Amino acid sequence: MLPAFKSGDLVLVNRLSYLFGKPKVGDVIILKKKKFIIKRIAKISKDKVFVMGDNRKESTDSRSFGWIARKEIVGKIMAKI
Amino acid sequence: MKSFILSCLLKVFPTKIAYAHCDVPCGIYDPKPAQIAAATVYKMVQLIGEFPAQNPTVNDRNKLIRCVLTKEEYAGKCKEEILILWTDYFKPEHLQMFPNLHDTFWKAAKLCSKNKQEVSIELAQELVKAVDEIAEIFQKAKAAASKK
Repeated sequence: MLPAFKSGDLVLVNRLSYLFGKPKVGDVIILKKKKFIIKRIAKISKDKVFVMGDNRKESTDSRSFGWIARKEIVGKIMAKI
Repeated sequence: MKSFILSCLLKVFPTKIAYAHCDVPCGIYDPKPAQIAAATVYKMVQLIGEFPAQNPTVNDRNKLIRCVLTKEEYAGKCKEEILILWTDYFKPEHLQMFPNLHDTFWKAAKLCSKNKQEVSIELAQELVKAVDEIAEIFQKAKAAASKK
């Protein structure tokens, strides 16, 4: 997620963000695949989101693994500590 | 003080690691390992072909088995390396640039399996050629990406 997030950065995640609010394009989220992954929302459809890494050239994201279900979203990044 | 508060908070609230990449180390892709593996398969097929059919010694048999094992192992490695490039490096937008991408990779992966099943210099040559073709596509894709 360079340049916004570097390896080793500590982030605060709000797991309740999307219980009431809806995801927005540009939100940085944590999603759960086999492990937790940090990505930015690029597109939104009815119940799915398309995520991309900021480091477009190197990122493995929805361009490889496809749209992700809303339920795969763990939470929204609130702050970098 | 800030770091003290932070370390106290971290003790109370558990942290988990979130990865920015699905594969580690992400972004390091190279067709070279697949090319070396294909060349190894080719060499092993050559060596197996030179094996004396009449009165082989125990050492000859040992060598034959080692060659067959190596062929098996490297054909498997070749397939693995090809699949990494296919599934991880190449992205849907590459299909516009290389419309035969899927077919090329699919045929190369099939050739790896064929080379496991059979001892054929033609099949080994085809594999080397197919992997070279993938390497060429990869270099073109890299060159196009660096221009962006």
